[in-house]
Parts: sequence; structure tokens; C-alpha cells
Amino acid sequence: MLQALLISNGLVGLDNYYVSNELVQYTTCLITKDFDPDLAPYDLLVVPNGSDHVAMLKIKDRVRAFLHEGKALVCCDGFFTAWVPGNQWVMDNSRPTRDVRYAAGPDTHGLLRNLDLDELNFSHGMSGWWACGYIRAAPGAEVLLADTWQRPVAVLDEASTPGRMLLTASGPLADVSHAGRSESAPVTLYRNFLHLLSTPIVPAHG
Amino acid sequence: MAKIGLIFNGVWSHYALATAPKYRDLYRLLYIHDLDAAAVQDLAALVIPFQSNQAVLAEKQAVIYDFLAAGNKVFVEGDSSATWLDAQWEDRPVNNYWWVTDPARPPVAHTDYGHPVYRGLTPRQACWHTHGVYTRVPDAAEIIQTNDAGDVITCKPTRTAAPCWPPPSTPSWNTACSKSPTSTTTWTSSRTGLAANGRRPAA
Repeated sequence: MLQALLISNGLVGLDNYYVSNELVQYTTCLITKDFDPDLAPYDLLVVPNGSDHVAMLKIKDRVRAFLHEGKALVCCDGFFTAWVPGNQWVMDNSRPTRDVRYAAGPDTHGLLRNLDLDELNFSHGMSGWWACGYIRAAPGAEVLLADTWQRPVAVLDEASTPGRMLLTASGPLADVSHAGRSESAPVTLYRNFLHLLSTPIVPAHG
Repeated sequence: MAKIGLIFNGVWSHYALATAPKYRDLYRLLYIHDLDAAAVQDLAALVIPFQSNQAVLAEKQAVIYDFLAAGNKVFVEGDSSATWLDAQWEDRPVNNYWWVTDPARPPVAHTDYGHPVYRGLTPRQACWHTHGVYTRVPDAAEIIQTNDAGDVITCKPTRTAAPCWPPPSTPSWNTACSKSPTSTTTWTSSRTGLAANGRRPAA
């Protein structure tokens, strides 16, 4: 079972989004003035929507060291400070929402498996309501989803560090089905990533 | 010089709003972990936005209530927590598509257009997209907006509706009351607000 550290910004309802289950055990770390979490016991760091990216910037070296140990990071939306190695989220609302459509990239690990892209393209018939801005992806990172203007909005980065980063320009990326809510494309993407992390890597010539 | 403090917990949306060319002369970002009396002393109003750190707000509520007691204004958006605000906010499905599916029936059904905040606005302009509602507000609160079900979307206290105002340093919120003749809190239900009478929640 994965051990995950959930960074909490004290938002109402966050616990409903991240419920421990057979795949992952969550430990919540509430951000305080003296925020300085020990990441060592964990396999996965979850930085959800609405996180404190000022606080995350303070521990950027710790996050980098965590990833250099081959561990994993999920970060959803809004990382406007430069704490995610190699990648930067950019706020932009200059494009008409009616023109926004997402396109899938090569998806070498099958993270988009069983994902209905139209659930992200349309919300109650309106387009452009999923991603906020876009991601300046690191060289070598895999663009899972790009928008109409070929700007990355979901990225898997296995190139910048020995670890894995799943980054999105939106969310919420969580398995809310464990809190009794319905399945959706973000749930599918998040669950596929957890399965990827839970799958042992078999050496090619082992 | 900015006279409105925007309490900021490191979330991008707060940062984007307060630094946008349209608003940056109005708002001053106040990082919540640095919030203290000195940080708000020269301000006229505070905004506590959606996606605020409710746990830290509860710890620092004295700063907010002291600011109110000094005659200033506070605007609070849902989601908010009853740990520091005398009201119960509850999550509801977001309806940001009413203008597509049923434009004649916005989810904010009733608005008091006599209130200065909404004066001069059309129903469409006054309709927020809400993330929740207030299912309990202080008895003395003035209800400004409700949805079809009668849930509170926006409310505020009136000066006469603040019968009990604990002095800022009062250790027990249930003890001595005094009137606060000038304070105004406005609360709104997630990108909408709610105005209260400034009473602290029961201890």
C-alpha cells in the first residue's frame, strides 16, 4: 500500500476527497507558519487544488530530494511559485472558453485508460471549464493532455528527476468515489496514476 | 494606497486577483500565517475569500474580531467554518451553467436590491455561482440573498442587529456583551457572502 502525505491548506471538505483505501493510506499535514514536513516516510506527496504555494516554495529543496529518491508527486493546479522541479503552471484566461478542447498525448503508461475526454471538454455543455491556465512542461516530460493551442494541461514528468510527477492545470484530482461520489474523468486519471505507482518495475533483462 | 486587505493562504486565485492590474491598487495581500494586528492597522476592510485556511483563521480570529470592533468592515466568502464564524456553511453542487440551461431562473432567486452592495445591479449581474449555502446564520443577521429553497446566499448584520458584541479581549465569548455601533461583517456563500452581526461563535 502506498503511503501518501496530503498537504492540507485547511480547506473545508478536503478530507472527503482523500479517503484511505486499499491502494493508499493518507496522512494529512496541515500547513502552519512553521511548515517543514518530514517526507521520508512517504511514497507519494499530494498537493491538491487550493494549496499554499508560498509554503511549498519554502520546502522546494525537500521536495526535490524526495523526488530524487524515486518517489512521486501529484500536484493539481495553480503552482504559481517555482517549487515543482522543471515545470511551471501559468495563469492564463485570455483564450475563449468556447474554443477550448483537450487532446491526448502518447500516454505510454496508460494513464488515460478508460478516461472519457469529453467529461473534461464539457461541463453541462460548456467547454473550457476544466483547466485553469496551462503548464510549461519540462524538456522530456510527457504531455498527457494538451489544449487547443497545444499547451500542456496534464503532464507526467519522469525526466526531470528519478521520481514521477503527475501535474495538472486543473482538478480536483482525487478518488472521490471512496467518499460516495460518482466516478469522473479526474477520478480515473488519479486512480490510474496510483495503480502505476503500485506496480513494481520489472527490470527489462531481469 | 490599498485599503482592503485580502487574506491570502498561498492559493493562486487569491494571488491572481490581488495582483491583477484592475485590482492591485485596491487590495493588499496579507499572507495568513503573517496575519496580526499590525498587518491590518491601516486598512479599512478585510476580505476573507473562498478557499481560505479555516484552521488558521480560527486560531487568528481575534485579529478579525478586533478589526471589526474598531469599526472596520469584513467580507467573508464561503466556504467558511463555524469554528470561528457564527454561521453554518454547507457544500452544495456548483451551478455555474444556469445561464445555459435555464437563464430565466438563476440559482440566486431573491435579492434585496435596496442594499448598497447590490443596488443598481440586474438579477443576472447579482447572481453568483455558488459552491454552497448558509443553513444557519445569526438570528439578528439581515438576509440579503436567498436561493429558491430559502437558503441564505448573502447576509449582513445591521448596526441595530448587533445586540451582543464581546469585547475583543474577552476570554469567554459567552460573557459580557457590548454594542458595536460601527462594525460591519458581510458574509457570502462561496463567491457570494454573508454579513453577520459580528458575534463570535459560542465557545
